[in-house]
Amino acid sequence: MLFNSFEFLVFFPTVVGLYFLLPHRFRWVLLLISSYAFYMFWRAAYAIILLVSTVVDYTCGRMMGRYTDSEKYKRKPWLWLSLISNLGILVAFKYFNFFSDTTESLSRWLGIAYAAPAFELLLPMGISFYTFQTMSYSIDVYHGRIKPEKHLGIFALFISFFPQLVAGPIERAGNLLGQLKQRHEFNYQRVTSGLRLMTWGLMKKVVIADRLALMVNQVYNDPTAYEGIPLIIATVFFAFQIYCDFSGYSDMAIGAARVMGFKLMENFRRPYFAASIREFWARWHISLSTWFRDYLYIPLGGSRVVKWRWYYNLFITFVISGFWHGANWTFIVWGALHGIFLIAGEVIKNQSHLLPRSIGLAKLPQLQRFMQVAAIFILVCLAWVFFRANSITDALYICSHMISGLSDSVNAIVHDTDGLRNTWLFLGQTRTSFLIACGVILLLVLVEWLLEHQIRLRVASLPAAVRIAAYGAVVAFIYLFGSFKETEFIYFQF
Amino acid sequence: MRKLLSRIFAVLAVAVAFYVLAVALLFTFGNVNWLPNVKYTLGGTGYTLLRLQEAKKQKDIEVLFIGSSQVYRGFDTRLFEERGISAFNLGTSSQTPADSYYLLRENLQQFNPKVVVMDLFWEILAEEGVEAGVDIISNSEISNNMVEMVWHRKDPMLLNTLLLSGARSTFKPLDPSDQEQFEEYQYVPGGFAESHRRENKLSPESLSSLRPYTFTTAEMQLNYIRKIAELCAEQQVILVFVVAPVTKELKDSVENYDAYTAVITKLAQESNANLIDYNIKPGLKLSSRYDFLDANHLSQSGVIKFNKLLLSDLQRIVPTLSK
Repeated sequence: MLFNSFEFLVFFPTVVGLYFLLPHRFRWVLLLISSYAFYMFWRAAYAIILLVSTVVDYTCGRMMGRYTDSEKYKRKPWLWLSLISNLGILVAFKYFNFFSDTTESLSRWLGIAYAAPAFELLLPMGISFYTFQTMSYSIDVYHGRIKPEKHLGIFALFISFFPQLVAGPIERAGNLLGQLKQRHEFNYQRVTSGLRLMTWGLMKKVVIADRLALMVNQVYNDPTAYEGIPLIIATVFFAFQIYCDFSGYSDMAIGAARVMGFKLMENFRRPYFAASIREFWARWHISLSTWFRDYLYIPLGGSRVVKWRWYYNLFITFVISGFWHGANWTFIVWGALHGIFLIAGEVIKNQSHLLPRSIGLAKLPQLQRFMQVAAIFILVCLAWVFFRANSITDALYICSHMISGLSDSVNAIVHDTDGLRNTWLFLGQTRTSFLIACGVILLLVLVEWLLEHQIRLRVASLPAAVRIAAYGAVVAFIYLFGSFKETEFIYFQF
Repeated sequence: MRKLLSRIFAVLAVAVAFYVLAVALLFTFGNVNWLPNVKYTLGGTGYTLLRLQEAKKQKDIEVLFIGSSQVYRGFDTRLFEERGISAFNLGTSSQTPADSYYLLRENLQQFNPKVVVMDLFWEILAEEGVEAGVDIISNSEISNNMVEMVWHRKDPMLLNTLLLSGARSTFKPLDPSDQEQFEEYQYVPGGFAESHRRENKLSPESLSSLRPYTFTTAEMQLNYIRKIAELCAEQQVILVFVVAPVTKELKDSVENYDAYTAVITKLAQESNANLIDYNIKPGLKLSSRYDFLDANHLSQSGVIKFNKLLLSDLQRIVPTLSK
């Protein structure tokens, strides 16, 4: 079920209504049934994988809980069982064909005749999210950071909690498990705050992301038909599309959980205002970046090692993070590029003040910050090309023709050569659609700028009539400007 | 909880007020089509208004044509009338099987045809948009079938068009004078739109460099074709699927024409319908330069050649025609 679907419009109020009507002891049952129904609405059979993952990790957790910290070595086989089963599910459903194809290509290159097997399996929705959530539970139990959960139902709910099941935030047991047992009373302020966040998330998804998608797809699905300006516009649009798509989902997930009294972790903190790649990753998909930090980067040694090893740790963490996103070389290159950018940032960190000082920019800290933010945005966009492109060949074409085709494309647009103005400037849409897309991006940037500068819009302190009018206007705006094709969220495929 | 529900109700009421205000202001003083989810195309391309107005007056015809622009620009009802076969062309721009279904529900009983000829152009089978629905609703009276169409498609754009269409006809009924006229082609009573241009506007170079097209299907459209077959069967109407001729270049640009043929052949078998693909069937010699206006629309010379063959095929399939 999609948050932006008609079905969810019926499902969510029903679940929330029943949740607050039921006595506390039955609420977990309602949420568990609702969560499985939410998942099974997509493909009923795939709930079995969710169930298997739940039972295996519950058992592993309970078995590890039998041993004290001094007997940690006895926990190890159970940890391995949990990791192998979760990674096994991931490899089988998500990466098998990638490895298979790569082996076949390599064999062909070596002149060896080998026909690799391939399976036509549908990727279970949200598999990368819930397997990572369960793995973090097992690792935390192994290290004794949390006690294993005894209640199978609560544990199953922790894995399948519908607001964050299919696209995160990837929650930690330490944060969510306890909340699932707590009693949450109806609280008007909290419920309206959750609904506000859901509405904002919905607006980001249907008004911004899905509108931009029409234009981005036009270019990225046939990139060789374009050069210069349209490639640049489509890439910038994609940067906003993926941000609004994914952060919109996170907002709706966090908002939906908040309505029922649960506090999920923050997943995005205005990432395009980052002034360094390190800062970008402290603001983008926070639940995943902290997962990789805690369960991969730090176990590898983190920064408490010799320099080359530190850089290696950073690089490998980002490459694996890229691979997590999808079984395609484009995602690996995307991750690797971020790793390289981050390492480059660390290498020049001590000298980075020299250039601004030499050109007098250091005296204008706000302008300097603005230029840093712009530079990081350009680097991030460059990496997004690989993330969005259908193949490495397409990505290389786009990167190379963004600049090389710039003057030709400007000429084509100015002089309307071959009638290309509309197709190249408005990316196949009408002038009105293009201007609306630009307008909603500006609106987003304005709102985020206000939030970034902690200029809080004190909506809650306004008179009720003004608030109602404002919310009504937003709902009407979503209805009039949103795209309601029930397009899936990009991150569902991961 | 009561306070929350009353506030939500108030917000929704205000949202409706804003919606009405925005649409009414733009409808009166600007262009309502500036709103991406609001489209109203009264008297727009394809002469849908004139066609649907004329359709209301038609009764007991023998052949009914349905489909997209290839139908209303490719099936000349006058050529059938000359042979004593009454026919009506109910084609509209980009009409998909989903749109055809509701148009048939609206008109089939009244037309009471012996045969329905439905074009299955490959691009239409992949269509998921609602542009054709907007065109139909903008140019027709509100009816249960139109409401049902909106309900089943669940697209806000269609709902907006329905509301606008309803509001407009409350103040001013539909009038044929609202139809915009197009230089390129003129409406002919019976539903056909005739062009007087004699040569393809696309150069041979443009035609030979058409982008490759990979045929795909939208499951929804296939389901509507099945529903159309059921509807025809209920009313004992013979259903004939055709693929109207397109330029050889356009046909060759379809990379998987075999897959397309397989899909429509299966559909025809399931629907107990005849299928004639005029891009494959021998005996129709068309020149891309003189018998077409672009990649897929026939010129009048092409229409005459094609309709002659179609007519004899229909008479073979339905021997009772014109008797």
